[in-house]
Amino acid sequence: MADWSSYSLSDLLLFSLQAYIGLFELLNTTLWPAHLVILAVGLVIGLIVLRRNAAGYRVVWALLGLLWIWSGWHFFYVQYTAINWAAAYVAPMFWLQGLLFGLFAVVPTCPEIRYTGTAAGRTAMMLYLFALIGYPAATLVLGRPLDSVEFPGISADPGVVATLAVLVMSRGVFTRLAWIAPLLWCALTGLTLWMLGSPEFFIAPLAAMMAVIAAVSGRRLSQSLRDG
Amino acid sequence: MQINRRNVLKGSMAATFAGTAAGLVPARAMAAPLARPLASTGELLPLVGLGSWITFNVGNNQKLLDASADVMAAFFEGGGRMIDSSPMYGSAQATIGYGLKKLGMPETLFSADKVWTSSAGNGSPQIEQSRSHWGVPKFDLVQVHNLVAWREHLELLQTMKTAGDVKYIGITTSHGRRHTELEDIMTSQPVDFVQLTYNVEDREAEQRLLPLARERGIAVIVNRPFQRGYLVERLSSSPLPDWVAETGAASWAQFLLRFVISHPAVTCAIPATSKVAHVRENLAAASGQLPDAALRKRMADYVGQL
Ligand SMILES: NC(=O)c1ccc[n+]([C@@H]2O[C@H](COP(=O)([O-])OP(=O)(O)OC[C@H]3O[C@@H](n4cnc5c(N)ncnc54)[C@H](OP(=O)(O)O)[C@@H]3O)[C@@H](O)[C@H]2O)c1
Repeated sequence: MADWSSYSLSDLLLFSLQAYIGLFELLNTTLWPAHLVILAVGLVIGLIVLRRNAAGYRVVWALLGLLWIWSGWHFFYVQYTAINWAAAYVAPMFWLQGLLFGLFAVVPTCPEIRYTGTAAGRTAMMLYLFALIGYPAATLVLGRPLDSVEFPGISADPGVVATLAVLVMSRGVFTRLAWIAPLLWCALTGLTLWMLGSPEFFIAPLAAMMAVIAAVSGRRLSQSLRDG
Repeated sequence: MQINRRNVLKGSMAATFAGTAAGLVPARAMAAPLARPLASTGELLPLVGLGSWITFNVGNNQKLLDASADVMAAFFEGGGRMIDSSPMYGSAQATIGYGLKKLGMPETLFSADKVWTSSAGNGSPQIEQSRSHWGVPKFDLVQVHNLVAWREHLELLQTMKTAGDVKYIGITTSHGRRHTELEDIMTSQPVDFVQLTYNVEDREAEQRLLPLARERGIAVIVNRPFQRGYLVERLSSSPLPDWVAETGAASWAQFLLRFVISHPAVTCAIPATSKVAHVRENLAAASGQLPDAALRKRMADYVGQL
């Protein structure tokens, strides 16, 4: 809309923390028991990563693609827009990311996802498990009512953290492209929650930072191993 | 003093006597907050209305929709009339529509909405969409939001007013933005209402806009009377002055509201709230003898030195 220059950052926030939490309450009640299916799929992804199966990588990328397209559509485009019209403009970013993962799943040189027992690998696996189980628990501990906790696939943030964990374990130049949207979203959600005065504001940015550090140190290590 | 319905009623009855002496009238015979007549029609508007920015943007959450309807119920029960919204406020218009339907479309409602689009052609469909969200046959007041495309929209609103599709028209700004331009509009355009930010700390409007509104018979709606809540939050850690009884306020919120509504140019302050207790407390501020110029200065000075 016109004249945005005269608005301050907090003016752009159209909703309260109460309304934001109310959104998750609505999502959780309408989508339950999809949570259990998501949890099962999440564990399957974890197992595939651990088993280093080439065909399995394609399944993981395809599932991640579906997760992003679903989040873009249901979370952003259908639900979040009810309190934040700007969410409709975030949705395409999730769709594009979903398509990128879809591409990873079908190209002949499918990017590998390999768990290594290194510090970077362990950090990635820890982040992945955190996204799956720890994230809902953390929101609960930080004061959300049980019916409003954030769950991967139901809300965006834990799914994005899970994605980052998978990216840390991935190989291939093109996977670097896939970091942009998750990192952007972690910064944006952190800023939103901080402006709302939510105690969870640090979780996604911190997870993003850990993922970046793990990825960079992991690449350095493999580089030095290669260089001898 | 505890803020409850009984005190609101007591305050309103006191207002019947104290208020009339000051040129103010209670909006209804009983349980009514003080009201000022609109210069253009003489219609009475209670000095305290209800905003909807953020507080009513609750999406599709049923619990929060019902909580908003409760706030509206308390508002009408306490004699409130003006509810203000905008297409900019997310789902607030739909929430208001939900509340109004649930309350059986209170007859006393004074519906104030806005047109907020930079495209002149979108003005009319946007107003229609807003109207259908509210579920009202037509709006009492439509304002041009934040001066956006104001020439085109004011022309449209004027046409609507002539056709009887809206009763009053107006223009809004906030945070002291574009006051010079607003002043020009108030001087040159036939607006019934102007909406601006005014509170004990943001007092720029006192210089030119409020006197000009009085001079031209333009009704003034005050937004952000609590600076989005920051003022009440900040001041709540400081004591109210020893002489607070003289102001007629029983809390910081009432102190701040009474400062605003006691300015003779102000027609209606529109604090937003998500809480029933707060809406009652706010309405109760529009009762009794309002502070005079000397007391208003003392109030501003007191807040200024905190
Ligand atoms: N350009 C424009 O046209 C424009 C710009 C800004 C605003 N507006 C209009 O003006 C309205 C008012 O402005 P605003 O909402 O920005 O700010 P405001 O009314 O100054 O402050 C609202 C905040 O004050 C708190 N509050 C209300 N009553 C209270 C009480 N008795 N005690 C303690 N806290 C209280 C509310 O919290 P609780 O929910 O906890 O009560 C809410 O967070 C808006 O809602 C909107 O309709 C128009």
